[in-house]
Amino acid sequence: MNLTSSAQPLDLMARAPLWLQYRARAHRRLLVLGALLVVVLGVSLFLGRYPQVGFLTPAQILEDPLAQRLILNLRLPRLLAAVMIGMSLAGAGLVLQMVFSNPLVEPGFLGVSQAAAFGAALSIILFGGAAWRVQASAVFFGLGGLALSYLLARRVRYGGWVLRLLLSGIAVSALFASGVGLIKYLADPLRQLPEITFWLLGGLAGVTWKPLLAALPLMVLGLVILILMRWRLNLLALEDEVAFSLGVAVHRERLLVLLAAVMVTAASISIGGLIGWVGLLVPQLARRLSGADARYAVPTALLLGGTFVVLCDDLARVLSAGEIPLGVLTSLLGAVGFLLLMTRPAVKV
Amino acid sequence: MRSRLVLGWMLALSLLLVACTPASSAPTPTLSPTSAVTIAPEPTATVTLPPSPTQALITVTDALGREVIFSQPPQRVVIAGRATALLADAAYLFPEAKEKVAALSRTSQGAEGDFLTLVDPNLGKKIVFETNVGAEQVVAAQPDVVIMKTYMAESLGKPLETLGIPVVYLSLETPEEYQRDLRILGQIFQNPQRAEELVSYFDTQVQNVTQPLQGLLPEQKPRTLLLYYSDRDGQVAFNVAPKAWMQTIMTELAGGRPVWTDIELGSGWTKVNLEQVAAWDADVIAIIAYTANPDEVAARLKADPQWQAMRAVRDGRLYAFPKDFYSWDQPDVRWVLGLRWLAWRLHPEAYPGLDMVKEVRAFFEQLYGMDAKIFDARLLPLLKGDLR
Repeated sequence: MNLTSSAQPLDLMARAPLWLQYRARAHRRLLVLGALLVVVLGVSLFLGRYPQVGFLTPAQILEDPLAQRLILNLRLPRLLAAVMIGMSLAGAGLVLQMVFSNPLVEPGFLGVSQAAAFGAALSIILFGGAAWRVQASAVFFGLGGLALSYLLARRVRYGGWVLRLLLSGIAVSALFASGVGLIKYLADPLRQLPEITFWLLGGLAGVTWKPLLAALPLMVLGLVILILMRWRLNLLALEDEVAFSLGVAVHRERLLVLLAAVMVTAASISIGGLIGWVGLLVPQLARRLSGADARYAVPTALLLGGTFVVLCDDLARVLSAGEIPLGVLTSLLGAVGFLLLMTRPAVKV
Repeated sequence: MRSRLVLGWMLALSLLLVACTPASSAPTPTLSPTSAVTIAPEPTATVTLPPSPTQALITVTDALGREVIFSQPPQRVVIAGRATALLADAAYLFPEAKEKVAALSRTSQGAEGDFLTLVDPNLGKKIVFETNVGAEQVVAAQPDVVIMKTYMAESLGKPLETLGIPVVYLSLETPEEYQRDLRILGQIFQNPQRAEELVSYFDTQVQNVTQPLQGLLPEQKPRTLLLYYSDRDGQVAFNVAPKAWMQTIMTELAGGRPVWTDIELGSGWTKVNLEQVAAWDADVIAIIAYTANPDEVAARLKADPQWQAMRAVRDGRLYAFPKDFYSWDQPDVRWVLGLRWLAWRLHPEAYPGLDMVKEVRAFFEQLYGMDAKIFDARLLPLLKGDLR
């Protein structure tokens, strides 16, 4: 009797439609990833090089007001910046990969990264390193890079829309990259060049509440758009004609999604500099975990991206006596992870 | 429904962040350490400055014009960030530095090693950071004050200021800034008398050099080229300094006409090619080398047929700019040595009987109290450049 009654629900579950099982699994996965991010954040908050390399104990925090200030005013904004940057870059990467139906695309491909880098470098040599100017300039040029890519793509006379946008994006990237090269050449090697170089390698050493809050609205807005649009992304990934026939205003919606992706990328670059490979590796990993369905891939990518960048930044600030550039670490770990991912047989999907 | 939840969550998060910032970033604006003390409800024993009613406040106006107020003399001084060598060389002009400097970023500039090992026997026991040290690491050294170059304000200074750590920015880039910044160091080390001594020492040195050159007509001033030779990445390059840098100021003070100021100069070293050097065809060329050996570079250039066609080489007036641990052309304390050497090379007749090595010995003895034994054993062998 007992046996049959306990077997009943199991049986039901087994007979549940496939999509329902899929959804339940996806939700569980998201919950685990979310919990992972929270745990990593909590642990990271107590990890650092003060007063010694390792963890701050609760007793130390209670006794030492400096430790409290350190956690509140330095570690917390830095961790939040790392989470937001990770989410932004991973989210933007995933969206661009879907829109362009190309798994090797990342925000850099539309000229956004290089243009934002150019804007920041330009601001450093023209106005000195004042944080808000560098940020504003990075966002302005980042958006300008996208606009330029977009306008150029409209004038290219052959190929589909995606190909045209990619081509013009590559050209715009190269244009701004040469601009960055020129600025590096002109920069003052004692004062400006180290700043530009550190900035091009990415890093969160100087992040306090002020720069974070300046960039936060843009990031939150962009991420909200990406999250809300995740239902439509599956359609946008289809051929234009098919998407259109399914009731999508292809151009308008794609532009909105692209704009949101660029916005969060430029805002990330404006606080953390160029942090590579997050936008490439994390979306791949997210799709491996959750499948290509954007409804689950987007939140998975956001959570994974946040966790990945927080972990990399932990290494950047704790591993050595100097700050290791964050971009170097994300690229190293990202590339290794990417290779591992590519050489392993696909588990599913 | 779910998307609305997410939206709400995001908005709530951002609101929360906005709400919790004013409290934490309140002390940022002008950032005097006393105002910083107010963030913490109780004064700390270790880092911040417990107010003591018996002692007057010490107000320091730093190179950025900020006022930093100390309620008692800082006991743990930390020097951090880039160009720490130049800052530390100035700080160690004060005998108190040996005891009070608790931590500093790496000060060695190249293969010659670290000059401070000659000056501070306790250097090995001090905390040493990288030049790109983060704020947290600096805080771990429990500083009462952190000294750094003005251009470190954004990357390192701001985070420290946020924590309420007193930061004093120094520039030390021109002779005038040396006077001002030495007085600031005098306040930090509580030795204004030594600061005045040093200011007058630097003043006298400059006077001694420039006095004999007074009344020189412009055409009597040799057309001079200070050329920095770099061979980084295997690529040889010649560079000239911007107008505002010590190298240009030094050349003018030494009674020379800097030939390179007529071209468009960047804000840092500007790379020039051989054609431009030939076009200037200066009367005197001095070769600066930081990583390479300036003597070897000068010898190589003198042997080069292309260079042999130049006036300075023909007249035997291509010199290697001297250096010991650090090159003397930099805005390091050694700039007065560089000035004296350059003036002597440009106008030998104005300084009869000048013995540069003797000058160097006296310099290190007077400024750092370096005894003859250490000088002969550790510094003399490193001297390079056309000193004789």
